[in-house]
Amino acid sequence: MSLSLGLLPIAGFMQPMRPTAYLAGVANCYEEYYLDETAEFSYRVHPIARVFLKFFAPRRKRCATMRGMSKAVKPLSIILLAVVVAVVAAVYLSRRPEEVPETSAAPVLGKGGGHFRGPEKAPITLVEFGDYSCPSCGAYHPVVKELLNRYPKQVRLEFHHYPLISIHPNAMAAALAVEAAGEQGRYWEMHDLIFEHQEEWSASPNPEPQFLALASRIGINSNDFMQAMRSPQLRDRVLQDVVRARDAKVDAVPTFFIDGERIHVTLSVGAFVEIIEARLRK
Amino acid sequence: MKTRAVLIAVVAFLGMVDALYLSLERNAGPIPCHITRGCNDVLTSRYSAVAGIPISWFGLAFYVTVFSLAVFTIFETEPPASRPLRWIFYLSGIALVISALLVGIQAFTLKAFCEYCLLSAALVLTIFLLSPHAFPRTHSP
Repeated sequence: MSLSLGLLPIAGFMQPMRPTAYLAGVANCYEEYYLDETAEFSYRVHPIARVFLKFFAPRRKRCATMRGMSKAVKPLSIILLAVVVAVVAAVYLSRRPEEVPETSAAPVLGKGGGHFRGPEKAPITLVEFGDYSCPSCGAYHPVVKELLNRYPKQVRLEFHHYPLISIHPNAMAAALAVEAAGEQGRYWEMHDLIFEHQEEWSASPNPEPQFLALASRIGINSNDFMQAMRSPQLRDRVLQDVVRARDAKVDAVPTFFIDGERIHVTLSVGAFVEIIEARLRK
Repeated sequence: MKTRAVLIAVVAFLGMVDALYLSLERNAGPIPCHITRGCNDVLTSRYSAVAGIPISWFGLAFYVTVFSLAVFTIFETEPPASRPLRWIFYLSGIALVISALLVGIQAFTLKAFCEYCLLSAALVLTIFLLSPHAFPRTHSP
């Protein structure tokens, strides 16, 4: 209805008629012989309706088609209105707390506790809470790596474990495998390998042989590795990360923080770059 | 018939909001679940898109179509008013099969559930159950 009202001023010379009738040109069709009067027909019907009728309605059926179009205006208006309301509702529901910075109670993360990659004095610290079994963490992994390559001096990554063991039975073992490799100074190499081969081990009933094979690929001593994987100290280290995650109200993996502030970022290097560039400009 | 069309329109409207919400959230980073765990796993898995198009967009197209057909049924004055409802029946039947497949993938392949996807499956089932009444009842002589 509002659409048809909005279109009314376009043809100011027209005599007043009901908006729905005007839009569909129904008022022109009360006499059938008007159908042969092309000029009259074209002046009295809305341009959009005219184009539609010209191409889609046979000349003899134009009156009936126009009446049909007039009947369709009301349901179409309701459909349009419903789509607009649905869009507004969805946008409202998907708003993030960070979009209201002054009143936001967004959790702020304390420094340290994780494993670092990148220069110690980098101006930006990107903190990731991740689960090696989680497919989306695996999908974000190359993006984060690309980011570190792009900002070798400006960005430092701090990784924390957050294995969701209730849905990923191998997540804890994977975190321990990476920690065990870290005991031999190969934390990040193992971190990359575990993510890159996620599909091979994540559904395995016993992933340890696969972890061992990956570890030996980067020259890790097998005995020390297996011993470290069973170490209660390493398990405690992983659990400390889980406590940190819960303190920071992490409710999804991966979750990213930049300089202690939680960020919501899409799966693209560009999205990270935008946030980092904004931070660097500050 | 028209009461059922109104109910279908309401359910389809909820589906539109759900599908739109999922589409917006999918592009806004990790998605938090409130009831289930694993929204992210489901929505970033390789099953979450077909030919690069997120499944939520297909869902949105389905709900908009069903909503439109239901609204046209409500405003229909000439018989047969049941024709759009029959289309809803056929469409929701196809959508129900696809929803069942997607719930199966969540349960057995991904072993993670996304509450918004489960809600969508429930809405599709509701639409399907409401629509068969479009068919005229046959009376034995």
